[in-house]
Amino acid sequence: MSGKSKCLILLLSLLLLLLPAVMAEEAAGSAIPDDYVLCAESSRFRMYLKESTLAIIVESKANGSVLYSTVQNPDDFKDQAAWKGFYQSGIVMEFIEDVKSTNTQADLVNMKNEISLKYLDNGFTADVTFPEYGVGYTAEVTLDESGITVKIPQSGIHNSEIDGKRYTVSTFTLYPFLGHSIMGQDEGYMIIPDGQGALIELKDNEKRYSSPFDRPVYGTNIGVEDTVNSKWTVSTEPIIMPVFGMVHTADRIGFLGVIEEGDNAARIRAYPNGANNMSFDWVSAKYTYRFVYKQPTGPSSGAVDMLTENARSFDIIQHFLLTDEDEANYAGLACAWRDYMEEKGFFKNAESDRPFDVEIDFLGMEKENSVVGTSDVVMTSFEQAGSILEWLKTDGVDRISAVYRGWQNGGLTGAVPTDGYSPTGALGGAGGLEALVNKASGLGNIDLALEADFLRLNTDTHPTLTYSAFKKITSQTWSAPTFGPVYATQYYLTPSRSLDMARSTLQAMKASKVSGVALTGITQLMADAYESGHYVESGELANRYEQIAQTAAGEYRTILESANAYLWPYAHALSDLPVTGSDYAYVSDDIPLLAIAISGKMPAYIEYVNFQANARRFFLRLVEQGTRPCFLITMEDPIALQNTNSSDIFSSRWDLYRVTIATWYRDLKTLHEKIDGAAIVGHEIHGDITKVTWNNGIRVYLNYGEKDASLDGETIEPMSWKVVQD
Amino acid sequence: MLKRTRSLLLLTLALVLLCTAASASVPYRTFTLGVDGDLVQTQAAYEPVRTMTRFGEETLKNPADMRLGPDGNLYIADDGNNRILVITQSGDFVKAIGDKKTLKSAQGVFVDDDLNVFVADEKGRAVVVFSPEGEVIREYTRPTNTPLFGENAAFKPNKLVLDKRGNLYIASVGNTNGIVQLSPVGDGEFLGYYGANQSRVNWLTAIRRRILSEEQLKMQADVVPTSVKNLAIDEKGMVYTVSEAENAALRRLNVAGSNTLTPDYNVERTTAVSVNSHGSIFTASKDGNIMEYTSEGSTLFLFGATDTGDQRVGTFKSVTGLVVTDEYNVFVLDEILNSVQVLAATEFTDLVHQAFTLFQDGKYAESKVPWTEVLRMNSLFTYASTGLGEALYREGNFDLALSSFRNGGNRKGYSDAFWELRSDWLHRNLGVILLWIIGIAVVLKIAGIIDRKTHFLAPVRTVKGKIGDIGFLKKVGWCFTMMRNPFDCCYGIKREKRSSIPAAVCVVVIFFILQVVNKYFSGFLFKTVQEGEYELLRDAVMTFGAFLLLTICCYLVCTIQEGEARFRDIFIGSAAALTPMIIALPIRLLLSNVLTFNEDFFLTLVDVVAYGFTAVLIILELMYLNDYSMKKTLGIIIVTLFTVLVTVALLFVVYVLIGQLVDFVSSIYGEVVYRFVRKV
Repeated sequence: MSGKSKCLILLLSLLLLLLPAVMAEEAAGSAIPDDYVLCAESSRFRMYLKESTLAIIVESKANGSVLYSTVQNPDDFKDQAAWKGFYQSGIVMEFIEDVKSTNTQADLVNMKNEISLKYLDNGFTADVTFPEYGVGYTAEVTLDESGITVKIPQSGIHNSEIDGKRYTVSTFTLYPFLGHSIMGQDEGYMIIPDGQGALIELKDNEKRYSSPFDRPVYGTNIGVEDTVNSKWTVSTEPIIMPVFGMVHTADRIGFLGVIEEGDNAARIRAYPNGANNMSFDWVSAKYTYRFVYKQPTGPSSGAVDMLTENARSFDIIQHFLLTDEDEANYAGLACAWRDYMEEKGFFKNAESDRPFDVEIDFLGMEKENSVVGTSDVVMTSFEQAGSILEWLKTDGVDRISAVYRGWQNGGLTGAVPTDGYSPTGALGGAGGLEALVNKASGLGNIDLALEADFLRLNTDTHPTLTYSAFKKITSQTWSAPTFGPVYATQYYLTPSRSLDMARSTLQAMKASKVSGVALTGITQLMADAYESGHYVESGELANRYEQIAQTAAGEYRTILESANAYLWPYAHALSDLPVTGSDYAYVSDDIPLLAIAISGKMPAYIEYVNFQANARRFFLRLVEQGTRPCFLITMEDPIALQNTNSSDIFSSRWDLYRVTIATWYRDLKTLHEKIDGAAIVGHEIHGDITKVTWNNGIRVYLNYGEKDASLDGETIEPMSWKVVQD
Repeated sequence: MLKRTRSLLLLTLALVLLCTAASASVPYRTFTLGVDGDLVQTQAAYEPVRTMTRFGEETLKNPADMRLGPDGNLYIADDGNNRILVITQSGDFVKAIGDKKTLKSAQGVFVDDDLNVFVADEKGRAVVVFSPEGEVIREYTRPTNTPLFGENAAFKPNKLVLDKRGNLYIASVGNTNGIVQLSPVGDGEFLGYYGANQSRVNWLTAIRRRILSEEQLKMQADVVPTSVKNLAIDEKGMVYTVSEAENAALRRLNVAGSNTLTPDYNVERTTAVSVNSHGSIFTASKDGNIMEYTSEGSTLFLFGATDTGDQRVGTFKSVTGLVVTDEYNVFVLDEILNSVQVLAATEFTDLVHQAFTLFQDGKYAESKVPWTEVLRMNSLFTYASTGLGEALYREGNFDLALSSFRNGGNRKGYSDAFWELRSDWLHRNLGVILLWIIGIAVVLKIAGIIDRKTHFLAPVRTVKGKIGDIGFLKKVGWCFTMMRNPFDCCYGIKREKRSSIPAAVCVVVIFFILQVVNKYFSGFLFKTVQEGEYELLRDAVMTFGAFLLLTICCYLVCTIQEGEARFRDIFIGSAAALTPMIIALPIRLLLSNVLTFNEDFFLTLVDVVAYGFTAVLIILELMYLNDYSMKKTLGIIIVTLFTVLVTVALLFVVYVLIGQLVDFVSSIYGEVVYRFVRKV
């Protein structure tokens, strides 16, 4: 090789070495466009503002990575003007003209606007008006140590009437494009609150997914939307936690959107690229104050458009919890959410130091048809339940959270709502229940709770409550088919009636000496309603349900079943939590975001073990999440239930589950003895292997595959798990 | 080498990214057959594992069919790309066969043992055969040298299979004569049509066939047999066909082309079928309902669902192909989603299959363990109860076998076990029973003798006499004389007021009660209603309503036909005609609880006698009461039945009209309220 060549190679090598550094510097320099001004700074992040559109950029001080809230080069995309306006504005409002069924978008690009901006120490406030229509709002955006908070007080929202036309503010979307990605240009994922949490990978989807994830927080609003109950399909998991997120893993920056107020009126929307023919991945929450609905004028035909009687009452408060560096992942964000919930009092009643236990649900009674009326199908009497608890103790299951279901006359589906305290004589009556309470108490470490449902209504068994049935905002009574042979139709109680009944029943239940109550029904519903001639907005309904949970929590150990997040402050424990999500095609992984966020703070019991087709994998999920198992138990064979409305319970016989309960308890207890009181701080998925890190140094490795697998030098057998102590 | 490695790396990366691993949740419910033959829910039998949309650099475009090759690879008729795409079961690209030059379309595919690929080219109107290397080695076109094929019959190959002898079975679009069978010999000699579907014939079709011309008939969808949508062939050479019509959703054709399978449950729009070496038959409907049948055609599982826009793994938009491996991995091809979804059997289903295999091999005792475990997971799983019942029966444990058969809804097994138990009971107790009968007879005889001397039973006779003297009971009793002497009975009703309407009502009520008891408390073997199903109100309406309607209509018809009977007479006479049923029903109830299927002719005999006797009494009663001839009476009965039909139709029309009127009025009221009063 000649000397010239050597020099050339040396020069080239130097150039190659220096080029990335030069490019990085350029990139860092160009990350914040000139029309943005620094408006707030915390110890970890900076926030920049573009005054004309209220767009922000969040910058990590540690690594210089940024999250843009608007599309920086909109001219590169051939989207409609409305979409362009949407993704170039920080805050997007919509309003309704008279009773038109479509909303008009008031973004900060396409619609003429006046912004009055005032800078604060840690952010800014903006009074925004759209002079042409006279509508507007006030927004406050601040940055603190945990992240960004956006507030839109309802008092700052103004509607108008111009030339006889009414303009009513209807919806808000706050920084929908914060952290957006374009056709797989970034590495990372979106977080959606499906099941316990799910990830949508940021990649080029090649337009495979035509529609986005767009779901109401706390489930379908039955007061507004038509529900289709299908015998054949399993409904998608309702959202129980008002969060969403975006993580750029390569840039090591991410956020978790947490709705503090307005959750009762929000939808979470996540668009994987390709959905609605858009090129972006973005995730956000949309808040609805008012909307137009179809009011039927006759039983089967005719309808008029109506605007809701009044606006839902809430101030929007939405947080973007920010993380970067090693915490820029879903586990880090779950930890940030845990801190947030701790601060906000979500765990104030939770039994954070409760040692590991297992939930045993007893099914007392059901009803089946007989020649005249119905007859009792006794599955587990109070005395039998006592015996089962005793046998469990003998088998080494020394800590139990027991819940008794179907304990009133009418059984599981007949005795709804739970009205007063009257244990059915078929199970042993009040005396029998008292004996059970005493027995449980005598055995020690057994907490017994009675299930109480103040939502579901059976008008066959409670004909006097027919006029207290839940009505949709159209004033039509809501009902759904049960597909059961005994009671054909399911109804709900009105929110006020639920509250009245809960108060009297919870008071009456004190006679039972039972220390716990398991609330179901009201814990899972969020809807607008119609009551006493007026529109009841979802916030009012939530308020009444909160009062029920509060009353219960004041008197009893309160277990909330499949509970929506706004009720968690009243829970001693949560139960019936989903293990997985709805399996959307665009979801790349289910993650235990919820389990991580409540680990070490709130005891969590998972959905029934009984009905799992893959018991081993289900067991591993419990190990992964650090959650507790729950079994539905009957003394009699569930074949006796085949002609009842609970015919979907096909496996519950005590003698067939005795060994399983003892084995699962023993195996899980060995894990929980090491992690009780600790919290999850890390969660990684590496193919078949999942690694969970606890803050006391415990690492749990799980192998979901069919072959031996290794990680960090640890080899785990197929469908097995291993605990490693640092 | 480096380039190849890089390509492989890229390919693997693409696969990792594009084979979306799924979790344990399932978007559909799974059903199995319940005790009464209806579908009941069970835990998930198959769970979605992954969705495959990209195979290396290749994607699908409107795929139409999919087969499992002997090499274990999947062969997909990628119609939109005019080729056959060969992939591994993990989704790795293997090769592509055919192109636009060699294939005008690729609607069906089959692979023979030598890995030659047969493609049904519908647009090319040919079956094109490719060598494993992808070269065209043969073409089968429309048979020309035989009149048997039919002058106007179309040859548009859509799906095909091949048997071990090389004969081709081709489903041809628009050809309803049956499956086209071609020989590999010569130019593809036409062997004949095979296993044509039958058209549905009902009374309407029969009328239409008589009155419509041939052209008009061709326009009627239900007179043309449905065409075969897809085929499969098993190791024994049995050909399985599926069609969109529910009555021919799944058929298994033997060598002669006769159907040897009658599935107990079918779904509509079945478009794909697959059979594995265990004899398990799987079908899939266009809407995504997948069924697993046992080799006997019993529904084992029904699962899968339509994608309604939620885009969930395990839901489908338009299924066109189905492959099931011997390991029970299910591959589902979707022509709209352009994907292959993979579903895998759950632990529960593995257990069920394991038990079935042992059971079918005759290892009943060994099958007890997995069946028991299946029952632990699902107490309502009827196949497990039946399987366990069979094992227990063979062990001679008839008592437990009886309850297992009952739980499994297996009447045949229950009958056998009951026969054994009853036989055993009779062996042990027959002597005692005979002794009791003789004893009772002797006691009665002695009592009679003593009574004749001492009259110690006189008070009993007095009470009996007093009861007999109660007027109402006498009138009820008169109705029962209809069986002995219909003429006297009718004369008593008509002329002597020997009975009354309240007495007749009493007879009808007794009939109703006995009928209800018989319906709901018959023995398990002969019960005609589902367990737990009680429709007392419906029964009452049907009995009393039908009785009243018939008697009123009959009276009206008789009135205009110069009948002498008053309404009262017809009402009482008709009630009296039911008395044979009142005698027969308790006997039937008793027999149904002690007989097995071996002696069911006794029950048939009771039914025939009771119904026949009642029918005769109705005719005689109407004849005597109205003073009609037999011929006229029969005419009156026919007219009465017609009147009942017209009345029911009229009542229905009135009901609908009232409903519409109410709807109309409330709509106007609602519109006024919401437009003007509650306007927001």
